[in-house]
Amino acid sequence: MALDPELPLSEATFFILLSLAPGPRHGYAILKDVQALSEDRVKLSTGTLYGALKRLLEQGWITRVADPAPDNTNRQRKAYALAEHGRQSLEAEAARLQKLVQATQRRIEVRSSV
Amino acid sequence: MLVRAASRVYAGLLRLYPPAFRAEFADEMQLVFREGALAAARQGAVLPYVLRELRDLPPAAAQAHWQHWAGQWQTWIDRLRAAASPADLPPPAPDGRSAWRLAGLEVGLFGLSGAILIALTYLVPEGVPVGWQRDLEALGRVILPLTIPLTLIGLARGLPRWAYPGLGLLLSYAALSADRSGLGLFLIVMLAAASFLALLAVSPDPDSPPLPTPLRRIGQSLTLDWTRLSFGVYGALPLAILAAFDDAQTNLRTPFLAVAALAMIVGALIYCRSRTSTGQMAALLGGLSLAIWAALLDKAAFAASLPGWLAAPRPNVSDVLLLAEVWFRWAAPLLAPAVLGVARLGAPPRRPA
Repeated sequence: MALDPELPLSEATFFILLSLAPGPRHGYAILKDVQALSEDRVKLSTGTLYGALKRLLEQGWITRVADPAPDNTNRQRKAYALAEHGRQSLEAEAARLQKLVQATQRRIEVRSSV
Repeated sequence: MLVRAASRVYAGLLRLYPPAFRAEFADEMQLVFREGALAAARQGAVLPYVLRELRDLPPAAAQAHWQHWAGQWQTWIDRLRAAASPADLPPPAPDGRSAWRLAGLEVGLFGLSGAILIALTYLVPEGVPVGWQRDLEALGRVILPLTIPLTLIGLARGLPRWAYPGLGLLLSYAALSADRSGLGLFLIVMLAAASFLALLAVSPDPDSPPLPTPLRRIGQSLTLDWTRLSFGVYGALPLAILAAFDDAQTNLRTPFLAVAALAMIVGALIYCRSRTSTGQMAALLGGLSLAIWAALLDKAAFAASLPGWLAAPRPNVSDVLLLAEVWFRWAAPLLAPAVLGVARLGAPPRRPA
């Protein structure tokens, strides 16, 4: 299997991409979703989030789209959506993590059955 | 109240980010910060939220600056690579790997300087003053007429591999002269300024035409094989041997200078015929190490006043340390092109985002 030079993803990047997997979200919704997905373990600050978003935009992993859930203020919020390359990386990382978990489980099962 | 004050402070701190980043994200970040602060206020935890945000902002801003500069640098490299593209140039001139005749040409300077060193040391023609090794002016009368035309012809021909040792010898002689006359710092400043101006001159605009063909041919030669830069540094080895054997004419005339000269020539020849970077670098480092080792034996033989050429001298610690320093001084620039990743300049452009 060819190694993807972009893997493994950092935890923050992984959760941001995962948050965007169901559909586009704006910045604050990503923050809250990452916190929920990680069961309150990963709390991104605004600065960390936007640093990551800029990098992901430059890499072409995500794109900017119109906010799918605009609020009732006049402010135009921007939303972010997963691009094809970002989805591929997310899936590759998920597959990598799955293999790690499988390998760990196999070893733990062998030990517990001995 | 607290949310409003914190939002103002946060908006002020966003000035820590690069302007381009601010223009793109500052409004959004203020909005997200305010939303987060209001949500935290509803839970009575606004202060921890604000403190966490303020703590994380400076490192995030520093990272944004780093990303900005890294991106600028990469863009510059990509544009330079595009402007200097050798795609429409004829293939580079073959080197000594393809023919012994070319290898002979590439080793020619080493053969000639080795022959001169041996002749002046062992045959001692009349009229050659004692201590000529330290006479920079006399050395210049040999080195400059030899290396300046070679370098000019080489540059005009797109810097083929045979031109590198001459350029290396010329530059090292200039550095040595500047150092002896107290102009070392001046030379470094001038070289840095010239390099900066050259970089500005070739700093390409995406819409500008490609660089002139002679410059692109030089770029093609430089990026073809990074060990060529090391070969250029190796070109200064005759001067290193001179420095290591500066008392050769006045002492016992051991065979070690001849050994050093031979090691230099053989190292260059193996380099020219090697097909891998590892083999090439091993040849250069081997030639250098053997030459320095011969100098060490020469110093030991001199210290012990050995009666014959074949007597085995024992080096003392101070000589070993001295020549280890000489070795390091020459091996470091020899390896520098690899360490500095010059090879990356010849790598294919990064994948477009």
